[in-house]
Amino acid sequence: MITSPRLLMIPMLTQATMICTQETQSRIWLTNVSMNSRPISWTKLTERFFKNTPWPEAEAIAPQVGNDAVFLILYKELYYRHIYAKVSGGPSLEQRFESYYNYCNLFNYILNADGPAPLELPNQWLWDIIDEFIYQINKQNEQMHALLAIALTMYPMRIDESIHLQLQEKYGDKMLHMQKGDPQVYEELFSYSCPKFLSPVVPNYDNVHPNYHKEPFLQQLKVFSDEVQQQAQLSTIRSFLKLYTTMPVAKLAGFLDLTEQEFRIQLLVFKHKMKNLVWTSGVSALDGEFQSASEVDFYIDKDMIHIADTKVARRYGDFFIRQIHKFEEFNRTLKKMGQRP
Amino acid sequence: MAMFEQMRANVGKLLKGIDRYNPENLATLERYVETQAKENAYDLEANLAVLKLYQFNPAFFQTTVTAQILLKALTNLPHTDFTLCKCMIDQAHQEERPIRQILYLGDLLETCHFQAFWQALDENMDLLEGITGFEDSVRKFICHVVGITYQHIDRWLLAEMLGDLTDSQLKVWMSKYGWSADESGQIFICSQEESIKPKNIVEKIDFDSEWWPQASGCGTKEVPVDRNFRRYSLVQGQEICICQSPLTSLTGLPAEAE
Repeated sequence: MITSPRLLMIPMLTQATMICTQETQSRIWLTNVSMNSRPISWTKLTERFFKNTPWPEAEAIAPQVGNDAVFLILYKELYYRHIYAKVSGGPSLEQRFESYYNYCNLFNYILNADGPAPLELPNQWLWDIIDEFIYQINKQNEQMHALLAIALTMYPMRIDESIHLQLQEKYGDKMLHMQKGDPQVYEELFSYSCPKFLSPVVPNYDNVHPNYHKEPFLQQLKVFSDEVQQQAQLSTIRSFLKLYTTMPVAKLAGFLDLTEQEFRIQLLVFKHKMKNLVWTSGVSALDGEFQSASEVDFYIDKDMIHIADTKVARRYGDFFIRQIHKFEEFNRTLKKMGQRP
Repeated sequence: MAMFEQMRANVGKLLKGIDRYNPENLATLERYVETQAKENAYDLEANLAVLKLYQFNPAFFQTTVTAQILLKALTNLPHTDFTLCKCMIDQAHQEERPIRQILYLGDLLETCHFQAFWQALDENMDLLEGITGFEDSVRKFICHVVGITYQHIDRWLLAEMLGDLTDSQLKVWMSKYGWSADESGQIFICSQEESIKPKNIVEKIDFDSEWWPQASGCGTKEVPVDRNFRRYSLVQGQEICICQSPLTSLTGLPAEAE
């Protein structure tokens, strides 16, 4: 399937340099250079000729590449990715549509082929295609990260390493504040990521007060803030639970500066809020059973609390694979050096 | 239950398609809410449709129906129906009686302040007029929370949480859930220690014993994929070559040199 690490550069491109005329940047001339020249990469060409402007449209270069459909699809993927990233003003609405259709074409090409598609693409490119697709079609990457930060603070669990790292970079600070119970940060992130809420009715224009337009948003914000408030103490309790295994309830209550009665109540809240509806089977996506995915769990037996934590041991497989790869690369380089006269 | 069953199919049809937003159907849907209350039945989708219609047609808003919908939502805890309803009732209405009181009761239940809940309910019993089986539904929720939290619980504590039940009343609830009492006044809920145990997650990579090189050197041997879909193969006796499947490239490992 898609395995080989060879760069896909249709022979014409590997032997050519794209030159822009002085009159119009969108005119391309493909010239043959000697077979010994190194393949010129997309990024280098972009840097040189298309720093802030779009590459030539696919239609313009199509004749040069024999109207090869697959090549054009891949070209367009790079073309739109560049527009999203570098061209000032971003993509137009029509370009967004075109880009989406192009992804449809690409995926259809791969999915509709009998057997694996005859395409060899570098792994990095594949990763970039999927990443870009999600970014474009969701267009809402930043908001998603903010929401994930909120969710993860209220319900910690293990997530994909790379996403976790991104989250730490962007929202590490804010997540700390939320863990401490700062309602303002919760509200700030919610306001940033929520959709625009609309009023379902037209206002009474004779009697509109100044903040009328904000009411739908404020109403939803309040429901959210109420939920945050109900769970306000859970973060702290969770961090204390992680420290112990078995202890009298009254004692742990003391550490948390709560009466035993109030602490027992908070423990009930913890259990209640950590159980959510998870789809297991059934036609409707709304069906399911209540499950807890919390890493920390506990139960109360008479007047003792028994805490069960989940510990993840260090993963050694990844570490070794990475080192092995490094050494492999090192060996290859050494061999190459040895071969030079 | 007869009326509810009769109406359910009919209402189901109303809710499909654009008819859901037709205010002329409001009267039927409101009667349906009343029926649910009387016959201790429940239909979330229909109730949300009523709230939606109230949003689009504020002149038709009815406090009593909204109150009934909210109370019915509470009977379905731990499902989040109550929160869904709150999202559809605007601030002004949320501050009217008796909606404000019901929201307060809801908050007490969500924060497991059960003793306080029963007290507040005592002071507002008129709210419950017409909602058959409300208190027992709340007790079901409370028993659910107790069931996931406790292994042994004090008898008096349980009775208090369930609304100051008498001994005989408590026995009824205990038998419903199969909870037994022991001599020391403790009630055994279930053996939580079976399911709630510390977990240790350790990565395990299995190597096939044929993987290791023989003295005379060997060719490529493949072993089954491990749980991360990586194949380890042996080349030329000494070197270890990792063949990565595309899946690993998409899991975010740093790009390996190709």
